[in-house]
Amino acid sequence: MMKKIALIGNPNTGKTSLFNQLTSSYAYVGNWSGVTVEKKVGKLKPLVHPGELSKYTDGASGASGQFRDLDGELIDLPGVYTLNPLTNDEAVVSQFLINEPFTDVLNIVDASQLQRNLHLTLQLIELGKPLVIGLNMVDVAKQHGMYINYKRLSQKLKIPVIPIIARTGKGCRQLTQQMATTYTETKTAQSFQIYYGHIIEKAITRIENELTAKTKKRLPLPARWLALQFFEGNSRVYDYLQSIIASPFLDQLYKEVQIAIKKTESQTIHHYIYRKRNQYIQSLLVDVEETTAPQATTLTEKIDQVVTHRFLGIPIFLLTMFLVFMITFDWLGFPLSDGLDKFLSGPFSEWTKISLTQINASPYFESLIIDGIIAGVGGVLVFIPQIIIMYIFISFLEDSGYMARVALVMDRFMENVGLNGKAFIPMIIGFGCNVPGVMAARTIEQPRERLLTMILMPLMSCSARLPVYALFAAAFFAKNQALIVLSLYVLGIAFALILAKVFTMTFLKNESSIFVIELPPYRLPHWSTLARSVWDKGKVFIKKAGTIIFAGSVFIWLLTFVGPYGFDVEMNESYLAVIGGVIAPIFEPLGFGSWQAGAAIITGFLAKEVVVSTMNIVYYAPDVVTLQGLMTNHYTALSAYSFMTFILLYIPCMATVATIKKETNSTKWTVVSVVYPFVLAYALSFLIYQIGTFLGF
Amino acid sequence: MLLMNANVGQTVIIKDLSKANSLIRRRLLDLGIVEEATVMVANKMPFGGPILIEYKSNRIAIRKVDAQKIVVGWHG
Repeated sequence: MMKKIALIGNPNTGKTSLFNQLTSSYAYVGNWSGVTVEKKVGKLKPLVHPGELSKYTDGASGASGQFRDLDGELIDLPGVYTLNPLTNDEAVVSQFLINEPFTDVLNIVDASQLQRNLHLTLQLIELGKPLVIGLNMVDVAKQHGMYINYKRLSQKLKIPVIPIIARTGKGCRQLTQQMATTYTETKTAQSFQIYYGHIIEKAITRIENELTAKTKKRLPLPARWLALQFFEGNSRVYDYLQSIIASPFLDQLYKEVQIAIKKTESQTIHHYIYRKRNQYIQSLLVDVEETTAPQATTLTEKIDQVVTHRFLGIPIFLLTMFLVFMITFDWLGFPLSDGLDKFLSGPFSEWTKISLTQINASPYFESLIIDGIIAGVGGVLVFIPQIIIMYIFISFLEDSGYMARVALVMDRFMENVGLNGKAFIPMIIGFGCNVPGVMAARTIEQPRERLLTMILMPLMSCSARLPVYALFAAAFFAKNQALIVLSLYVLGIAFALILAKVFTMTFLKNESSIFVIELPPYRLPHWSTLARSVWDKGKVFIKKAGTIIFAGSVFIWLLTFVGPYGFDVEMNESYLAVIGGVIAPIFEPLGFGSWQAGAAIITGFLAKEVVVSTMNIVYYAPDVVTLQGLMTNHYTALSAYSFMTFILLYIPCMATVATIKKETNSTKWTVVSVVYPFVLAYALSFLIYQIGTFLGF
Repeated sequence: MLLMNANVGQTVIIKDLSKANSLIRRRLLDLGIVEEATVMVANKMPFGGPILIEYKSNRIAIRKVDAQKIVVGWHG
């Protein structure tokens, strides 16, 4: 039977690193049903490399039997402090445990924060499934002057505990080995239980009895666990119990217990259960945790003294972002993109042409390949280096722990516009792509602030818009490319903040803003984790080039090829010119009333990169440099800037609209997030062009 | 004394969390910060910005308004 192992742990315990160490490839990447929280399932690495296998089987020592391969999948779950959820993100864990089949649990525990982490561990033990603990960051704990006697911890909890350093992969092999043995040998008889006092214990029994009376089905999880989670206030467990037991019974019982606990302990039930677990953990720690040296100032504290400095914090953040842009555009990105462009338009196109002639392709087919697909898809692919560089920085900022500091230093500022500092994290992710940006908003606790962050996301200039800027900036602002592009990003943020203020003053009043954030210790992301995370993000872009952009390019080429008066018509007589021409007059006051611009704007809804594909095709440009030359006939510097502003703001792409719809679960707010950017884009481009013309630019 | 009034670098003992926002209280509890926990004020952001507190090398930031609802006592 194949194992399905759930990977569960506190936030910032190195879960992602461990996942990458233990798995070789993804078995599945997608979303949890009903929510767009990312679901990653990885295939477990084989325990022994095929080459090494002979080493063990040849030896007569009988070791061969121990090294059986573990056929299984590891399921990555969001980091949680406790199973009782506070945000939608955290609720995924409870939902998973209740609804999805799994065989084992792998609990990653931060050795330097043992007390806090064990609260979750105790709840996982109560699940009654085979459990293995990966005790991570034993090295960090050592730096803090702490030594964990993991063997004794294992004895006390009656659970296998394996010390690991997930970042480097140390101990991960033993961990896999252990997971293979728990299944076959020790069917973990978990006799271990915490006694929660007679009030709670009696109430648990009542739920257990009620469950046996009401259903004959075997429950997926122990009744005791369900009861405890219910009393802690876990809403997902309540929903599940309600499907078996009538809710009046549950509500009545909850009330009784609440009153009884209040009377005897003067605490809430949740707090009381927390205390009971904490008492046990305290007594456990006395036995297993040895603190030796008093802590010296850690590196994290030293870095934080600078980057969260009262007054230097914000300038340091702005400087960081500025450097990111300079490297992504001027210093590294442009030269790389240029090289790729030269290759695609030069040798690659030539080679394709020769091949096409050799197979006697019809001129139409050649036109489709060269003028349609290579121009359209290739015109977008050349920007991959810049997008990858951007992703490397975003992933680095995410994984290093710096994002939480950004949230902290920006909070006071964000409070003014009715948001909190945490909203800055999805926004920075949105620079990569709006879709994960919208999803990242789920870590925001307050529904109003979450909604606001999501509907403002389209104003964050995603990497798909970057090809458009790169194209225009190089053609019209050759000397100040990075600054011009930066100005567009700033424009997007500025309007996001202004609109946040407008929205909070009009539609979304009455709900207070809340901010609470944990600052994880800094970590230098391991290159392999970073590479995987960049690849996961970049893959989406490349896939898009092969699907939407490819199909879009073929479609656009077809529309330029066919016209009302037949096939193979002049570009100006084509259907695309007709369609673009209909809406073109609307954009006349903005400085770009050509049918070509109109066509690009319509097709850009598919994906923003398609704007560039369209332009490449409609201007007959074999490569980006030629296109840029051609564009100077159709645009001035001013109308180019007006056009870039319009493309920045005018409408979220199809994928973003779908994600906003799914995440807000509201047609009204989805419509709002499509309509207001258009109005804003039109108004702003209008002002830029008209005022610019008036001033004589 | 209120948590907000403690100085940066000062160590205080949490005395009463009952007035704090329930969401904040829950997050503090997740990190192990309950009544009688000893915390250190690690930083305060300017212009009435958030306050950063440290508990067993956990660093957590909350807003000034919320820190004003948490009663603390002197340490030692």
